[in-house]
Amino acid sequence: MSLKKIIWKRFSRNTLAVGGAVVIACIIATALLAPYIAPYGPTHIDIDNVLSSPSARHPLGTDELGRDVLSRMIYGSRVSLEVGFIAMGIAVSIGVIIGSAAGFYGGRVDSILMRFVDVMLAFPSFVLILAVIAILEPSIVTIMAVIGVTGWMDVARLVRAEFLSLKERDFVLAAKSSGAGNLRLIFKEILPNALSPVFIAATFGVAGAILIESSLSFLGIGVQPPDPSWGNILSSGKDYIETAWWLSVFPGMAILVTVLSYNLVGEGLRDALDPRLWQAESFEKIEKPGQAAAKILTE
Amino acid sequence: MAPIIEAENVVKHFPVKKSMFGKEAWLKAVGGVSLQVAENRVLGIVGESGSGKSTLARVLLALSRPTAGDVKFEGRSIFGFDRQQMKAFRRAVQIIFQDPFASLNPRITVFDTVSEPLRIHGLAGRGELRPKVAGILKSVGLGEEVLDRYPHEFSGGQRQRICIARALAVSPRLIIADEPLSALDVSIQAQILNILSSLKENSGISFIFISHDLRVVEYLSDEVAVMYLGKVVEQSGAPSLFEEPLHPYTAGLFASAPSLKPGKSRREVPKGDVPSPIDVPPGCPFHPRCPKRFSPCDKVVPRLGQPSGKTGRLVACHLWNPY
Repeated sequence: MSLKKIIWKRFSRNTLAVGGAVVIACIIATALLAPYIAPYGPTHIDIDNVLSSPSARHPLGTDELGRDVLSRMIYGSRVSLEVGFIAMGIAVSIGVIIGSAAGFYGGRVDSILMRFVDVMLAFPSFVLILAVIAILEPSIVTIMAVIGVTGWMDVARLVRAEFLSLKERDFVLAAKSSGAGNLRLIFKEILPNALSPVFIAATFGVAGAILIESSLSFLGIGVQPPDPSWGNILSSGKDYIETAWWLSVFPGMAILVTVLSYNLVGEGLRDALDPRLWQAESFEKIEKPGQAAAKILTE
Repeated sequence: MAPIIEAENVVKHFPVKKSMFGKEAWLKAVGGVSLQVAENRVLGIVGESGSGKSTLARVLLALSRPTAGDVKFEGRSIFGFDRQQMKAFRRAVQIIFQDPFASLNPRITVFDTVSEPLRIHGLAGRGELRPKVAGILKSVGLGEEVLDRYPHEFSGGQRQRICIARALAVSPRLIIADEPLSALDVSIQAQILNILSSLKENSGISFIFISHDLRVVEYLSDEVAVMYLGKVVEQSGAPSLFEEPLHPYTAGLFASAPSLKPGKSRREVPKGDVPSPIDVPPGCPFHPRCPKRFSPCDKVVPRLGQPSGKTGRLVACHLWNPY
């Protein structure tokens, strides 16, 4: 049985994780197909239906300008996904590079890089993000960059810890005594074995980045109106929470379900990617003694 | 005959902090070992766990630097090698580890594992890599069908064969085998032992064979070094050592090995445990457990020397070498 099959088998047994993956797949499909499935354009104004409650015409109601909430949320999912993936991509890239260097070379390199991590962690990162965005133009690109640049420390620590333990493992020493150079050791021997925790952290990180983007947009320094994002729909909804609950509840639910799904998938991956559990899988195909005996008896 | 590899008074200490305010202590893993292995010879290294065998192996492979002393490969210090010399050394000396479950990269196929040394040293073109790897695997009793499989699909014995194949890939001159059998079932041990002994007979490769199993060492080795707490206490040609062990520790090891001959008079088994290598006893490190200790043993460190009338043998014991 190949590794992929085993990982898939272990993952697919986890109902919650599969549910989360299905939800994420739906959200991705929604984001990609937004112009085809959204009933209205994101900025289309229905002047006769301002703040109308959910109805056949506007399934999730309209906002204070008469824009369709469902349509705006469908377009808003693009922002969440973009920010989630790209910000996490930036964070993972920085984290992997810094963590690998610190863990592999150790000594002074390690001390310097890890002190830098400590300094970064000591910054209240949300305040840092606020400050940076206050200086720069708030745009989706700035947001992604800032979330990425302030979010790599966990990944760096994870990767460093993996490298510290993996570089002393026999298979790495064997490769080293076969003459493998540092780059080969890092990229071929150690990194592939260090990636599963990174992958898991990245899944959780996507959820975190979506939350941060929503918070920033809620505070009005994220995605700028009229461009829709779940956060800024929620933000405009807060003023009408007593009269137009749908403006806050639906985008809030969307954020909750998305973040929850990523977290569930992360949990599922954590179990599925644990190599200590693969051994058992590959021996499951060996017939149990009872089955073998039954086979002999029936023949 | 010129030795391939030569350890000169190798010392390896690891720092261990005793307590937060206590002074730094040292774990004396290897305390001055000199050995050499000649072309086409097998050196067995025996000793209980904690005797420094594996640490010594790592120093010999230049995987860790000794605290003092030197290792010479073809007469030159391996710690002064430049890139090119190091590459040649890495090709000439290979290792087989104890735990075949830990010594294969779980993410890459058998083909990638065994072909890696060939690719590093540019020993085969793209086209010939696969048949060459298949040939090496065949020599350790594995068929072509294993090439694209992953380590987790194999049993311990099969994995150890893959490790041997990886070590053989670059046609090394010396293989250091660090307890290659101890993680395996007895029946599998025999198979791996057969592979190693046929390599010894037919390949011309030298071996350093590290083990705590005396029978296996006797079966494979031309020469044996017995280690205790980081020091060689006895060294000699294998037949004479097994016929007549001189050091009380060696004798004790033999006595504790199970024997199939009934009625054989029981020799004294070393009592107690190996002392901590952080607090090595003064004098002869073996004296607290030695049945034959006498006055100088707890004060004077015995030197490794040839006892009178025993040519080709070295022993570090006051019983044999007057101090």
